[in-house]
Amino acid sequence: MKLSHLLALFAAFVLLVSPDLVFAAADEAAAVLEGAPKPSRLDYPLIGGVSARTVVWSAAQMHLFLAAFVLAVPLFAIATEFMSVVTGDDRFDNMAREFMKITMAAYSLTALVGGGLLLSLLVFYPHLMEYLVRVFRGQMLIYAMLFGLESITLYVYFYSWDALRRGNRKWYHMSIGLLLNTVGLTLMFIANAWVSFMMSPAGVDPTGAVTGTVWEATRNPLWNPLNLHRFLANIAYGGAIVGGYAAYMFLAEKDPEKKAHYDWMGYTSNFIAILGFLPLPFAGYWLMAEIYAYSQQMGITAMGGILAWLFIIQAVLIGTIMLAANYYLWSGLMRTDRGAQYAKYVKYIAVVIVGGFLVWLTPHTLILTANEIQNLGGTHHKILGPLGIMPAKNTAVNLMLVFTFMSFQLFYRSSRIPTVSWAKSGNMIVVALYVVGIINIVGAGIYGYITPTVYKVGASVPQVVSTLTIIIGSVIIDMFMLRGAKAEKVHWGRMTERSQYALFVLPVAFTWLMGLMGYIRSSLRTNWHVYTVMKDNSPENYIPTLGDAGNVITAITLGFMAIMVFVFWLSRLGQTKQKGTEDAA
Amino acid sequence: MTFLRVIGFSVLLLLGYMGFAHMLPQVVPDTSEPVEVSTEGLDMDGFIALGESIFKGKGTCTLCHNGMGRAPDTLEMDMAATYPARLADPRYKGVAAGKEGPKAIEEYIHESMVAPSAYVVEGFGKKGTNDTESPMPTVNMPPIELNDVEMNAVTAFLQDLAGLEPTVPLPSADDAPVAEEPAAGGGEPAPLLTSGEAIVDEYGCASCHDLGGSGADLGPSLYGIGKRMTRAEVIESIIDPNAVIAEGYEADFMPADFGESLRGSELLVLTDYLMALPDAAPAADDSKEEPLATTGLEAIDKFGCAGCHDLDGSEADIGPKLNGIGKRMTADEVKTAIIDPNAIIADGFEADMMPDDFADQMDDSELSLIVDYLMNLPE
Amino acid sequence: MLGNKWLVFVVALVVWVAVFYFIDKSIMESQGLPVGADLMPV
Repeated sequence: MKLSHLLALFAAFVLLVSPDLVFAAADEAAAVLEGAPKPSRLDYPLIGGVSARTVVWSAAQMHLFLAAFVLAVPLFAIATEFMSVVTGDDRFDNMAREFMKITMAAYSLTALVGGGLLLSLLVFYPHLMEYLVRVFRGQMLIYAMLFGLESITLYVYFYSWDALRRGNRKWYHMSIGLLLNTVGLTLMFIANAWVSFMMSPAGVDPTGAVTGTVWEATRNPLWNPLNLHRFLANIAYGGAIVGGYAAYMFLAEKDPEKKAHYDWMGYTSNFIAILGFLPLPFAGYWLMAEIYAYSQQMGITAMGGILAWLFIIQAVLIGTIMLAANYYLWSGLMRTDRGAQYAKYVKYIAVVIVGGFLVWLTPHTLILTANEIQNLGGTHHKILGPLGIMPAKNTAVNLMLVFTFMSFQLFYRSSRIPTVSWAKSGNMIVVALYVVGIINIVGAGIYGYITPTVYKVGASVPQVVSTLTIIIGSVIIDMFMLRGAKAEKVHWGRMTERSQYALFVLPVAFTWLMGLMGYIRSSLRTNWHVYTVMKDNSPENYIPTLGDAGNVITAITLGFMAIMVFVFWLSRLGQTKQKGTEDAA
Repeated sequence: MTFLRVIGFSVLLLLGYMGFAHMLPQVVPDTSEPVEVSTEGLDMDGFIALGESIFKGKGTCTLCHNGMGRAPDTLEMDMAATYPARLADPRYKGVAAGKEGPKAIEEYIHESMVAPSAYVVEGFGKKGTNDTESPMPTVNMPPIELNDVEMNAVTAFLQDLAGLEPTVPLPSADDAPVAEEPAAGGGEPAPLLTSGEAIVDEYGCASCHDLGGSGADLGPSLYGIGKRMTRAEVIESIIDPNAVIAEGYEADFMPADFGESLRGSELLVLTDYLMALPDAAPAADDSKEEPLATTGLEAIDKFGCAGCHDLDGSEADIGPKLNGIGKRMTADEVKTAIIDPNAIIADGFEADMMPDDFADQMDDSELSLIVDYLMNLPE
Repeated sequence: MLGNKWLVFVVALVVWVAVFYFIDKSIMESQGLPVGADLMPV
């Protein structure tokens, strides 16, 4: 079997390289410890009038967009494939294959842009690259090797789909998918190690001299928070992009049957995007907490200093994502005949979501010009002031998440009529759960507001747990209550055209948001290549203004959109048959 | 068609985000080169003042040592009582444990900077370490990187805070200079100023002191100040203007917050510049006369109105606030108030404070530009 | 089954309140922040 060969090959390679990983530290310790390079401003290559930072920034961000997409889609492709085995419904299998088809075309572009990134880094920041290679040694080789393995498994996984479709063979196919995802995630974790090392170096002494193993450098303080954050964000991102694809196909298709298929695909993608998105604020919270724990300076740079305004834009972006996703779910209520009876609740949910959105983007302690402070009468607004601080924002976010979940639950319920005898009582238990949970979230927010800082932070944890309790609790109750439920006919394809535009908001906003977060994450290092260890003395070692960053992010997003249009076009081209040949056959 | 609509919609959304990024305040990065200033010849008062400026500036101490509960609020606490209590605390096992006196306090302060975890004040430790590990960065390491002289200055300031006579050595010629880099995103929007002229300009010294030919006489002339005062006295007068009042002048006129707004190196650069000033204003040279201002803002700048009046956020309070004056006075009244300032004195302010020779200094066009500008100032 | 739905609602409310109270209390205490301790105004 191909699989076992590959595994053996992989094992042999790891053995070959691993002595380097394990024993290199001992060798280095014996030698004279050499610190990180200290390039002066003149050591940075100037090539024409090209802005080195913008080139590397664009290449890195573009690579990340593509890689996030390419790594995420196989994750939910295999989940969808698994669904098809469990339910015996071939529609899932077809959709999983269609997901993968889009990925295939994007994959080679990912590698291409990745090569471009590497090249631009070597050209513009040779000292940094030299240092990173010194720290991570053989790991970079492993990365390259894994990249090869990723290509092989990806191609095998996709092209063996129909050959290994039924019976026991399906399980072989899914094993290949599992291997593909394992390799993909490992690749991401390795790349994350390099990036997080630059923010929170470990395994080196204060001068940057390598004192630890590669593993110690890898397992730096921000590695795992970043891993989790990117893992979840990738799923949400992949879902959003595939949703955009489905929405476009829905609009373009005329055949009602195909329209129904793409409506269903759009719904599923939106579901995946939200599923990845819901826990994201909590992962972000963890990442931020770890940043504070690692360096208060860095934390304050992010939340209180030059970057504070960024979180207002972030709030706007996440707010539009929430609104769009909810709007799509509400529109979906018309797919069932029962849906209308739930539609009356929509306006209340809308009020909460918009209200939460507004609270979230109320600024608090931010750098204001002296003039603005005067106009505002102090650094906090008199009336809106309390809405700007942490407890209020946490409350708003949690309520938005709870109500987004409620939108989803309403849609889910609209297509199923429970048949169990205790349905009415069950409903009451769910309603009570929502009521108490929401009161608890608001209560903890008020409690946090009137207590000192440690309590403010402490009280945000029960809020998060309340949100999760509501979600998990009502999913469990629903599972029992809807057992054997009478399925209502879902009229897939009975959707407005306008609702599809909500599906375009998601990928566009997600892409821009990821670009913005990339800007924040890199800016946290301020004028360091590797924080506290290797200074950035290049002419562009400062944090660009928000407007400049916005221009670059928008340009990269446009570029990415163009690439995606090309990718989608490619994947459709594969299906298109020339008229004449068909006739001849 | 569908394709174009979808693309158009997406691009509009993108442009919306981009536009929003431009609407928010743009914090322009500080790209100036690092500066190094010698601290030679400072006396203890100047050294304490330098320490205060480092504490609030380069050292970034006040990021956490404030009233927000991140770290002990050093500037507000009774440090005279706190130091002995810390030294006597049985939990403290550091270099100065069990000792007493100013020297022991110096050792304690120094240790708290270079080994913050040696003693963690109860309740301020890293979460889960039971107050054995401090979240404070080591200040002589990156990213703060204070050198020994700078740490001594901070120590002197912190000893002075407790009413103690500082025990740290004064800097000598052999010591490393005070180095300052531009703020790399610590939330300080003001760029680092590296020349005396730029600092004098930025803080509007010449609007009250005779400097650069301004002829202002609200404060003592700065010409020849190097002959009348020592370097340390100059530093002290900048940071704590009411400590010594020159004969014939009154206390409480000069803003007392320059210690907070000037950064460590700026303070030293400014002092060097002032010390080197000639004994008298250079003879008036017509060819060097400032060009006529062509906009209201230029004229305001040229005559330094914001040095005494609260204007566009200058927050000065020697004269009445000028924002919103259009609602309180007519254009003619404003004009009179400029050329004959003692004609009407606003409630709560004193006569004879504002120069009464603007009628001579200003061209008519400049006067009307200023009046127009002021009348249209928003609240 | 289970009688009047409003009765169920009230009972469920009480039970959920107990559950959330327990969760809040244990979370706050595990962080070393006992509920109700010195409620200082900000």
